[in-house]
Amino acid sequence: MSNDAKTKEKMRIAVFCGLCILLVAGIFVSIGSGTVSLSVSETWAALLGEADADTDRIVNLIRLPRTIVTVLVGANLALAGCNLQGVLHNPLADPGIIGVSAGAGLFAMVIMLLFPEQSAMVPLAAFVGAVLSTGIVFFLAWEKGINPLRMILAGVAVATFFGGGMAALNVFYSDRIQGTVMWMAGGFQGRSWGHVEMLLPYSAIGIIGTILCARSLNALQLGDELAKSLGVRVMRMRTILIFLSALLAAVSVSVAGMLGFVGLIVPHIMRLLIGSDHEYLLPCAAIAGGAVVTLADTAARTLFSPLEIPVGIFMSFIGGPFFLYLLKRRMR
Amino acid sequence: MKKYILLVFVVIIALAGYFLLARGQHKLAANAAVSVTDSTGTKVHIPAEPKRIVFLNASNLEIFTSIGGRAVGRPTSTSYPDDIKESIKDIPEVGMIHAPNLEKIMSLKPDLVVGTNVPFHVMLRKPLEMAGVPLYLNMINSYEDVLKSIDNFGRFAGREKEAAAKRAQIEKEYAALTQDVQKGRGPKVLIIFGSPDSFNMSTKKSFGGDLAERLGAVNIADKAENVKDSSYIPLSMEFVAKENPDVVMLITMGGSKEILEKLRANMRDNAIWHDVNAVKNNRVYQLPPSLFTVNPGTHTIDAMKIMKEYIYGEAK
Repeated sequence: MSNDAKTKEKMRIAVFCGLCILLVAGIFVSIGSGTVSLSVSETWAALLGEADADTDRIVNLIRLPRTIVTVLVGANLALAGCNLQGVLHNPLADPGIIGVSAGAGLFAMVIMLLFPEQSAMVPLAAFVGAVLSTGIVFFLAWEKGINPLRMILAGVAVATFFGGGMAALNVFYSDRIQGTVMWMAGGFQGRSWGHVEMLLPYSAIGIIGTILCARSLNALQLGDELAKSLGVRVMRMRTILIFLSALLAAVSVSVAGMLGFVGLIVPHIMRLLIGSDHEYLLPCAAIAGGAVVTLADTAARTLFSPLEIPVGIFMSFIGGPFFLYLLKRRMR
Repeated sequence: MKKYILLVFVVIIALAGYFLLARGQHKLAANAAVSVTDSTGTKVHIPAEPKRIVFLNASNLEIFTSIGGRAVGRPTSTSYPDDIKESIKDIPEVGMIHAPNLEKIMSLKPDLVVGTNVPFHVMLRKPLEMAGVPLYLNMINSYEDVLKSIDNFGRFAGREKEAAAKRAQIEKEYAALTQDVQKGRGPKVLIIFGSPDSFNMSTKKSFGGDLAERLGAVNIADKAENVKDSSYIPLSMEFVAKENPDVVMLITMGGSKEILEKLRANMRDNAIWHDVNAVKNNRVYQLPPSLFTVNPGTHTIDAMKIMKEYIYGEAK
């Protein structure tokens, strides 16, 4: 191993460890802070199940599930974006590009506007919508496997179609639209154990599956021919990867609403920091995504307490400029 | 490296799983006493005499407060009527209507939470239930709903007498207001909701439309086909020209006398509008936002008085 490669390796390990620390810190900050101020020992006692009933409720019923949801959603979206950018060879790819967000958004809106009393079903309906719209995109893009270019075109077309549906609902139920705004902006208010239960199995499949495919994803970067000669079944691998991304994105959008930014920018930031070897990039992006969303959500719900700013807006304001700064420094 | 990374992930997920399984079953028994059905048709077990009620929307809180109830939590809002502003000033806020803060609500240790039928209130039902706190959703979409809510909240507050008095007073004033009108015999009206650039007509399913119907007005929006369940439907100028309303009433967020004058002038100059009876006779009015953009609750009679003046032209 040359010296250069060694420093690179060191850099990667440093970044990975740094992110892990950030994530763990983020989790503790998130559980430790909120509208109600609790001391560290009280919080710890509650986590161990030894606190009084009120503290126990606040920590174990409100903060803990919400923190788990933010970590998983952040990791899922960052992974999905990272994957899609790699597989589709498109730096602008994010979960929106394969139709996931539009489908989820339309179905969620139908429930929230037409049947507000059934709003508990929103995550499930959004998931069905996301799977359905992604299914349509898969079908349109299928050519003995998935054709990346057709995938992007079909994704845009399907997103436009479902977007039209959302615009129509906006017009016909303009008096109720306020109730959906918070969901559309993406956020985590009132997320609880039910959402964790929904997220967990799909996230586990998606995260482990994606990371196991990292080496093949690297091969795909070299172009189809070269990847084939390296023994990768290009079509099958690509389909599996896109499917896993769709799964990760679908379940996250269903639970958190239209959370933009994470899927697009976090992978790019990680790429700027540690390069595009997916064996490192994927896990780092997942951890970074989890940490970023958890910290942003903590800030969003504590800064103006009891008011909550939608975390999506918060992340765009902080993340956009930070990304531009990284890009600019890189160009020099 | 890859193996270790994978290990980290497995550990993270296993941990989450542990917490999920070990701590997921938090079902505290609600101190249930009475079983009631709320506006969404959900059966809710509420304490017979709730002591600590948190309200998530202003309209419900207004009715509760007006009969002498004292809430322990209230929504962050700028649209409280003047007569209760003072008395609720010190009640802690739990976030805006469409973004209630669950942690803040729980910190107030409520034994009942009252909201309305909007997505972010319905979504609170499960987490609140897990904490043993019932959620009662009360919708106020019509005059009848106001009376029903007064009865309900009277029971919640343990102030049935005050509630009955309030109800009797409103019913008396209502009877006086509507004795000289006949349903469906009044002038043709159009109620526009929103800004003049994006028009919506209020149908009888909306609060404003409901009041207009009770005051005998013929709401042209109710003649539109395909109305079904919508409270508001997009405005078609051809439809307005055909139906030719005698009175136009606007419901906008905010707005001043100058804006109304400007709007009237614009309508007179506009070829589409200027042949409409209401515009020709200068009978375009603005309904006060404080009474019509949010539900007026116990001030419904005030809202009706103003609307009646506009419909029958007793105002200048």
